[in-house]
Amino acid sequence: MGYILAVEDDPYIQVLIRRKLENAGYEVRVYGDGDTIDALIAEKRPDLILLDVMIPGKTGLEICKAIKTSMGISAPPIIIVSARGQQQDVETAYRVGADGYLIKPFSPKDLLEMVQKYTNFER
Amino acid sequence: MSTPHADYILEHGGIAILTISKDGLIQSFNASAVNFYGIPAAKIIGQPLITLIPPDHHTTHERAIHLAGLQNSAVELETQHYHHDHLIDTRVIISAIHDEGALVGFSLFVIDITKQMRIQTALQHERNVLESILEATNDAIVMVDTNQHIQTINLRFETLFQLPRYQFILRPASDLIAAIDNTPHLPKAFANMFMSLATDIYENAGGELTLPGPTPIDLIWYSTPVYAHDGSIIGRLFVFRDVTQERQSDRMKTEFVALVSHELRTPLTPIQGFSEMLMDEEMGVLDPNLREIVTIIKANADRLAALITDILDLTKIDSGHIEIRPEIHDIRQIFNVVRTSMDGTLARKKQQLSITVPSNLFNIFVDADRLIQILTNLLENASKYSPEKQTVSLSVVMVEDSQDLPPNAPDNIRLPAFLFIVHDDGIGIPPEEQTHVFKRFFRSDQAMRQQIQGTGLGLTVVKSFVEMQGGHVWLHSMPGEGTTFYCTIPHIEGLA
Repeated sequence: MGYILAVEDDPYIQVLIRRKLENAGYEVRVYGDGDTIDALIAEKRPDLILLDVMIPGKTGLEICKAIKTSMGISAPPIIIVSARGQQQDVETAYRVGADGYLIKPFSPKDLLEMVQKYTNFER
Repeated sequence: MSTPHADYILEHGGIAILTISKDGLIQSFNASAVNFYGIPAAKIIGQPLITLIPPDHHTTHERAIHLAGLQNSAVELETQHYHHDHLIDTRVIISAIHDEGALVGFSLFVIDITKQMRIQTALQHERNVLESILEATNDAIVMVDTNQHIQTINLRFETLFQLPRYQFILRPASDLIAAIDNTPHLPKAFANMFMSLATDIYENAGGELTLPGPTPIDLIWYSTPVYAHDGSIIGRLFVFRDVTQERQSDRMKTEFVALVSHELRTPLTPIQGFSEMLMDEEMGVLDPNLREIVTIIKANADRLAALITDILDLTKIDSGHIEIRPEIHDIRQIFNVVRTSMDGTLARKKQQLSITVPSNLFNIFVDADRLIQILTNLLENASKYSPEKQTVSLSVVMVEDSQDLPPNAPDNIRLPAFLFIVHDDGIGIPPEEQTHVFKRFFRSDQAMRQQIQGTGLGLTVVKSFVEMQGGHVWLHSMPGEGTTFYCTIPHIEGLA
C-alpha cells in the first residue's frame, strides 16, 4: 500500500500517527529527529514523508528543502506538520517545497486523507 | 502748585517726602514721613539720611543720589527703609533740587511697596513651582499661544527630540516646525502634525509617532486647546509621552501568549486525535457508556483547540501582524467555503443554512480568509444561540446610499459597501448586553446559564477583521426574537 516515513519528536503524536496510518494499511516508521533521514531514504524510498517543524537538530523545513533540492522531481511528497498555522508559516513551507501542510492539533482523518491523496497521486 | 490744597497733599498725601542737603543731611520731613518712619520731624531734621536706612542699603542710596545729581531726571530705587522698629520694602524716587542752576540738595519720595512685593514674590514662587513641575514631568510639553508663538517648552521635549529649546521659546511656532522638518531623525509626520494643529485653535487631536533610530522610540501624543479662567483660549498644548517600555512589555506579553498557545497545541493533538479515533471505533467497538465519555473528551479537546485558535488570532491582531490581502473573489465561492465549514456545526443541531446572493452581485475585493472567518464566526453564534431544527440565514446586498442601510446602522459607514446579514431566530441578546458583545471574553448571561460553550472571543475577532478592512459591524436583537448581525465591507469602485 505504501511506506510512510515520519519525523515527530512528541512520543504521543508518534503513536497517533503510527496507529492511524497503520490502521489504514500503511507501513509507518517514525523517528524523533531528522539526523539520519538521508540514510533512511536511501535504504528504502518512502512514498511520503511527514515532517514536524520544531524537532531536535535541523528543522522540518530545512530537511524538506534539502530533500527537495537534492532529489528534485524524484523526491517523495512531503507534508509539514506544525503547531504554527499563520499564513506566512504555510507559505514558507510551500516555498521550501512542501506538498501539504497540517496544523496541530490535526484530525487523524485529515491526516489520512492528505496522505492518501499524495500516495494515490504517486501511483 | 503752591495752592493750599497742593501743600496739604504734599504734607499728608500718604507718600513720605523728605529733602536732604547736598551732603546728605535731612532738611525737611513731611507729615506722611513722620507717619511712615515713626519719628517726629524735629528729631530727625539735621540728621543724616542714612539713619533711616539699614547699613547694607547705604551704598545703593549713595549711588542713586550721585546719579540723580548728574542727570536731569529722577532716579528710582527699590530698597528697604526702617519703618518704626522694622524694615519694609520701599520704592524711593530721588530727584536733584537746583537753585538758580546750582545743585542744592535732593528730594526723596518714599513709597511703601510691601504689598506689591508680597504679591510679586508669591507670583514668582508659583511660577517657579509650575516651571519645576514642567521640568520634572516625564512628558514632553509644548505650549503655543494664540499668536502662534511658542510659550513654553519643557526640558523633556529638548531631551526627547534633541532640539535646543531656548532657540524656540517666545519665537514663532514656524521656527520650531522648520527645525523639526530639517532634523533627519524626526519623522515628517511630526512636523506635519505640528503645522496643521499650531494654527488650529479648537481641535482636539491625538495619535502615535515613532522616532526611528537604533532603538526606536514609541510616542503617543495629544494636543488640546488651553482655556483661561474666563473661557477664552490662550493657546494650544502639545504633550508627548514615551511609551516604548509599555509597548515593549505589551509585545512581550503578546509573544508569550502566542508561544504558550503554540505549546498547548502539541499535547492537545493526541487527546483530540485519539478521542476521534475511539469515537470512529477504529480501536474497537465502544459500549454506550464509554462512547458518552469519549464524546465529552473529544468535545472539550475541540473546545480547547478553538480557544487556542481564537487567542492566537487575537495576539496576531494585538501585535499588528495581521496583513489584510484583498483580492478579487467570487462571492458565491466564498459562501460555498463558509457553508462547507459550517456543515458539521449545523448538522449537530439539525439546523438549515439559507444563503441569499442577489443575481447582480458576483465579485468582491476582499481578504477572503478573513471574510470567511468573519462569516463563520457569526454563523456559529447564530447556530449556537438558536434551537435545534431552526434555519439560520446569510445574505449579502450592495448598499450605495446610507438611506438603504438598516435603521440602527452606525454613522460614518463607508459606502458603497457590501452589507452581509447573518440572522437567527434564537434566544436574542438583551439590550444591556448588546454593547458588550464585541468585548474580549464577554459571555452573555443566558449563554452561561444554558451552558452554551464559547470563548467570548469570536465576535472580538469579527470586529477586528471587519474594521481592518474598513468596514463596520453592528447588531439588532430582541430577547426571544432572534438576532441579526450586520457587517459592511467597503466596495472599491473599479475593483470587483
